[in-house]
Amino acid sequence: MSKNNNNSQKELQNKDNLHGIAASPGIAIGKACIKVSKNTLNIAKSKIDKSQINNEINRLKIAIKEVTNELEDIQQKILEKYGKEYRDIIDSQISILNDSEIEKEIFEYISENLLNIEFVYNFIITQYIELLENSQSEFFRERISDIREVKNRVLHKLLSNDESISNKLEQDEPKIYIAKYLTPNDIIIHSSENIVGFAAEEGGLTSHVSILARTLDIPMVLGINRVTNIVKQNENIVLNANTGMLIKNPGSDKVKEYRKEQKKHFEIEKLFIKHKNDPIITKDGKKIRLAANINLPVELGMLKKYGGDGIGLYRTEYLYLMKNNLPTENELFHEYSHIVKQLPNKEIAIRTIDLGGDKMYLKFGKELSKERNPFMGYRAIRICLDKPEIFITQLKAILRASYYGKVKIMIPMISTIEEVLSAKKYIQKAKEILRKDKKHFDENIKVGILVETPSASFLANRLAKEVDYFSIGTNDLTQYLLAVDRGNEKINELFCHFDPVVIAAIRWIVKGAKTNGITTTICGEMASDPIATMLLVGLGIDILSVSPIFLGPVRTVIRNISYKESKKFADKVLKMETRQEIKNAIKSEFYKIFPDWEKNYGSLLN
Amino acid sequence: MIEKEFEILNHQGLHARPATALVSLASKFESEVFLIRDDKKINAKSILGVLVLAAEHGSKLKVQTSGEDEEKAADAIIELSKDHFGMDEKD
Repeated sequence: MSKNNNNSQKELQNKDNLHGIAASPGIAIGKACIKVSKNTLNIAKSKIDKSQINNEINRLKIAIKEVTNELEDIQQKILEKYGKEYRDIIDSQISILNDSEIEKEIFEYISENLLNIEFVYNFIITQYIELLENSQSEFFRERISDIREVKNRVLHKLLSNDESISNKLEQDEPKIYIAKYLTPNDIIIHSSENIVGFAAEEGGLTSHVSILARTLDIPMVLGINRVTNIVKQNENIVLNANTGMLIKNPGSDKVKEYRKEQKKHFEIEKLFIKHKNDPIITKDGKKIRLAANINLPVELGMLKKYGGDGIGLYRTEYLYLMKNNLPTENELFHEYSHIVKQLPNKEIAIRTIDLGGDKMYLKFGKELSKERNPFMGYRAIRICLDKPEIFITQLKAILRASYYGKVKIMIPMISTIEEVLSAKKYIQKAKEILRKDKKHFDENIKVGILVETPSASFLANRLAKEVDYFSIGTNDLTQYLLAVDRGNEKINELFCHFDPVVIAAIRWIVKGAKTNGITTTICGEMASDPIATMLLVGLGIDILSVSPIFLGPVRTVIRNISYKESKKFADKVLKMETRQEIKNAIKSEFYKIFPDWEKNYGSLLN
Repeated sequence: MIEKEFEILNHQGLHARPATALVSLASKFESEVFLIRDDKKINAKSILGVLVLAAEHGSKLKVQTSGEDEEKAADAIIELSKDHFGMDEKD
């Protein structure tokens, strides 16, 4: 949390201020737009005359046409902003909307019962939603949100078409989207409309929606208790995602203050952009590589904007999560090569799918039953080795993309030597198939692993003999070392990457890598935390891979610290016994070098 | 009236894209086309109907057709299901 910030001091005491977790920084000012997640819309039921039937049906047809146009508009924006891989998200909504059989059903019902169209439409669609709600299948239940979204848009149109112009104006106003639970599709769809911020009741700092929001540079606050009940639809609110706060009834003075802060945020951004080409080198001349973590091709823009040395972690789950079907080799190849061609001289580490755990949407072959312990269950490399056809499809796509630049393969969730050996065998197999098919690829492609389990950490010295590089995923590593579920809000406090055991593990992993002459990247949340940079540099990390919006802050830190001093500092921290002691030392060292950090560079995420 | 049984072979079930393929095929026939799963019976010409069936991989469905071209309609749908509803999937 930011310390030297007037707003944040006042925020803490006011009952109109709702507390949450700052998941993606920034400030958003706008009207609350609450996602309706139950059939709560109040639709009046009134009798109509026989002569009105056609008129009512016509109103529905017009509303459907208008919503279709709206959705196609969004689809176009998604296409421009995110590329064609994501346009499918809207497809199913458009076809649900234009279901002519449902129209017939509605016509029959209205003719028989002589009721107003709002009521009839709501009644019929709700019946379908209820049918789906009774379904045992989790995956299909997700379609409920599609159908509900369509229904609400149509009802909104039907109800607002009488109110005409004033309503139209309102629609262009900036809005803050509030939901119990956010999905990646919510973010993609609504950030293409006039949504300027997101808030939700569930979700922790590392959930994938927050990664996506940071990717797209949209403020987000998660974990706000009962926010969908407390905030009213259309109410004016401020979302201060620098401190993790939603402010009700802000009043004009406060709004002014926040606009000022917004402006400052913008100025700081300009400052970082201005320095994007400054060499990433410590005061005493040690070169550190600073790369970016990305999820979507659209983020390349951010990487270029803030300047980074390649991609240290390309998360590839999104194509799998956002589509209804498994992506084909060609779809994956197209996506990967698109990115590689834009950065032909930079290293790009493509991580093979890390599905499972908190990202378990996809069903491979059959629906996965709910696991008692998903983070220790069927995920990442474990799925890949169990379903080699899926693994090989992705490997072939990555290999083919490697022909266009400097691609590295990164295997997540390794916990045994056998897994590394099997993964390497499949890479060989994928290469053989490509050779046979006369497809080009980089024969010497580097293969690395994510070290993120306690067993892989212990085995660092041995694993380093099998691979070309290490990358440390501090989020999972911390979670597994401390046995703390990182998504559980009740124990958020216990999750801490400054715990002595986490730091000792990083040191051990780096040592294993150095002994065997390979490099170590760090790509978890910790790498993006400017306060941790000095410690990580001192521990001997070669590449820091951060969320694109932290390229500026972390670059600033690296350029102002000395490598020699950092090493000394790391040695000192390694002797400390408690996380509080370590946190204090890190903070005091940081503010010694940057006494006015907040004033000059804005608030820190943690 | 004709009734035939088939199984969903698609890995991810009768999802948005395969469901759309099914609906557009069913809509080509004059006959009424229904799908039945357990106690649910829906109009196969309606995407919403097909989606709420929530037919996952391996589920067994019945197609029920009645009308002039009922034979053709039922056969065409069985064929489509064998072809994974036109989805590009490898087993």
